[in-house]
Amino acid sequence: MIIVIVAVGIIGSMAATMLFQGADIFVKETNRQGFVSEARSAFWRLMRDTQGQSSSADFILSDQNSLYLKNGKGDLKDFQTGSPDQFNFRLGTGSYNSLSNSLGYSQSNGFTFYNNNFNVVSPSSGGLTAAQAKTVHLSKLDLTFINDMDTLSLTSFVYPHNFRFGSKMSYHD
Amino acid sequence: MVKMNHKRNSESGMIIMASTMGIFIILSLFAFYLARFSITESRTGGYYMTDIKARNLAMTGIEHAMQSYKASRNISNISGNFNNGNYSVSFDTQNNEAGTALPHSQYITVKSTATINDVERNLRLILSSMPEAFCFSFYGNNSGGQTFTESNGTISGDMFYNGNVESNSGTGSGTTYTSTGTGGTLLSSPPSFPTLDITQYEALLTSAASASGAYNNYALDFNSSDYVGIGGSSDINTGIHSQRTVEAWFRTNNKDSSTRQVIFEVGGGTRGLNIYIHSGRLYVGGWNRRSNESNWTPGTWIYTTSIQNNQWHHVALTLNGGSSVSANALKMYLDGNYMTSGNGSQLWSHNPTNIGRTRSGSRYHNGTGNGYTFNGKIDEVRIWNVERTASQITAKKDTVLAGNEADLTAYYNFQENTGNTANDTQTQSNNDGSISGASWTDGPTLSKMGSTAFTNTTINLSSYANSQLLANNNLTLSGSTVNGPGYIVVNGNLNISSNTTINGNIFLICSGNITILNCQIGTGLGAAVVIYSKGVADYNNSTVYGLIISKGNSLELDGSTVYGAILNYSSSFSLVGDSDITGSVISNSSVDFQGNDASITRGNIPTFLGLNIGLDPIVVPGSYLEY
Repeated sequence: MIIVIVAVGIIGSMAATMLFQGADIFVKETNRQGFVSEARSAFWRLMRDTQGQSSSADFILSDQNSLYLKNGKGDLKDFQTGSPDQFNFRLGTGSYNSLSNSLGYSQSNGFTFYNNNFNVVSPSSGGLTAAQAKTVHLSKLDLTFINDMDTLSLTSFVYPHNFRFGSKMSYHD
Repeated sequence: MVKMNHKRNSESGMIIMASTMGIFIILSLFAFYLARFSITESRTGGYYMTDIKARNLAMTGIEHAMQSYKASRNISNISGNFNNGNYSVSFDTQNNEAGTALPHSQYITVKSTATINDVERNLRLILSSMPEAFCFSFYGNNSGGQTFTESNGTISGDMFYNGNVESNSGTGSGTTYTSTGTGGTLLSSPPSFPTLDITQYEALLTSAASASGAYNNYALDFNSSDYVGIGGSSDINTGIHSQRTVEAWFRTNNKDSSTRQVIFEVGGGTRGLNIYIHSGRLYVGGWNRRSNESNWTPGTWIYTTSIQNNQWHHVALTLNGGSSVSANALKMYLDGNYMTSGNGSQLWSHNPTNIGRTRSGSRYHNGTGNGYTFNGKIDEVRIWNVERTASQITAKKDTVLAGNEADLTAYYNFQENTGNTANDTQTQSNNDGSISGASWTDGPTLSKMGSTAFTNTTINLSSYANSQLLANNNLTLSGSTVNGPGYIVVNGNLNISSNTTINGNIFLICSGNITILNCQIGTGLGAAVVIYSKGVADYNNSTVYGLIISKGNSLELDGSTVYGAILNYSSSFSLVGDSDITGSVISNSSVDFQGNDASITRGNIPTFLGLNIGLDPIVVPGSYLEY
């Protein structure tokens, strides 16, 4: 009987340990999945809207932390990264909405712009000028998301489809 | 005792096994949940990948649609399968994907939807039926290297000039773009001057140049008691006429008949002229028997035997007489050749005209009589109030007349090919004939025609082979209506005048000069025309809906209105008077606003759906949208 009680005790403690570990894994994995989903969908939204950029001229004022976009319907969109962990989105001139609170701002390179020679177009203070914006051919999105011990870096070059068809000018309207 | 120990051992074992199984089940549930995380994660990643694939597939649909549209502006729905997905593409000529009206009629929305499994993506592009240069109100390629200096007229909408623009000479509403920045905004990478594929135009001109029957000629077939009666008119029979020419083409079935076969008569028993066949001879005759007039009695009948059965011949009777009978006043020509002459005088007022039968009691070389009919075909009956010379007769006998020739008083070309009215297609007056019994048939092949003319005629291009009216000579359209779709191709000059209406979806292709005066060309942007000319182009007091392509030395609009586009290669391009263009003008040279009221305004251009107009459509930049 004593042996049984001891054995059950041992098995029970083992089970409790395993259950605790399982529960811990469950909680952590749930959090991790939420983090990954948040980062991925935020980055996906960023990529998708950048893909729909109407004209390179609409990159005006963009810089490492700000990305200004206008789609083929004329909708204005902008994405902002901010210290310490903000990644926000705004449609039109409304208020900003958070896409993620897990941005590793200091670990992210943010938004980079290239001309058609694949040289970096360095924004002036205050962002890309109109002349600089018109030269943008390619943009690079590079964001790192951090949650506890988890780090997720997502990078993409985006060549908007509209750029294939030439620059949108006033006479096209 | 032994039994009891055995029972306790069994219970302990059961407890251990139950505990172990319980723990195993709990751990299994955890494992299941953990596995589920992994599956969900993979599935989410899969959706992102499918999303990309669906977007690419939708783009494939867009590419498919663009190629389909480019060929002939085809807007039929398109669908396809690729990589386990489907795409479908539709076109909207009115609105964008949100139902908002497109800014210009030449724009068209292409919507593509792709589906892979349960992922759907929607894309749209906007196409323009015309090259990018047509997005300007005025695009000047400036081949002459001039500074754009125009103090007259107005340009509304963005314009581009490949050079310098003098101050106050650019657009009045919009941006003036230049290639230099002088006088406007520098446009460093302007759209190219459009490339026109002329293959189809030149191929059609080649067809016209080799067309044997440049003119689809119709005639009337007479037998029994058939005739065409023409009412009395001071143009023809009432009053005194000292000079007269009567011409006709005829084809007899039986030249040797001993019964008189009357081709033409005017007058009656006292005064008159006639043309008839009798016993192998072709006669022309005249008389004016009143003694208190010229006393041309019994009359003169001259003849030739040089006629054949079932063969078209041209006969001409001329009269140039005074108040008394004189020699050689009456002459006869056959197939352009002078035959003989006889006495004659002027004619005092006499009875009306009939073609193909006597109805007024004519006189003949061998007596009198009424009701003599013609068995055969008659065409191109012309009555002139002048004696035509031999050279004039020869020059014009194979030529369809324009109708406005001097001294032409009645002209029956029998081009109606339907109905009971023989239109008098000369333009000075109107003496239409009434057809009784005669039936429509083919006329002589006038292969040597120097020009083709349609006057007061309705032309249905569908009645021509391949809907192509091919003229290997000059073509004149006067007071006529042309119904399409189809082509009018002229290896020569094209003259359109006198309220002629060219309805929509017609190509006017001309190797020579084109003159359009007082006409309606095209009836709307949805019923537009394409005009391609290689000579001097002159549009006077007319309205045009469509595309004008001018490749000659000069293009002039005088008091005319164009809704659509102009592609001008001419070095001389002028807008005279109140000439207005709403649409777009692309010119290889500058434009000369000679009229203060002349204007070019950015506006709508026809879509030319289903047509190849030799110009490539474009994607409107910035129009790609995922929605």
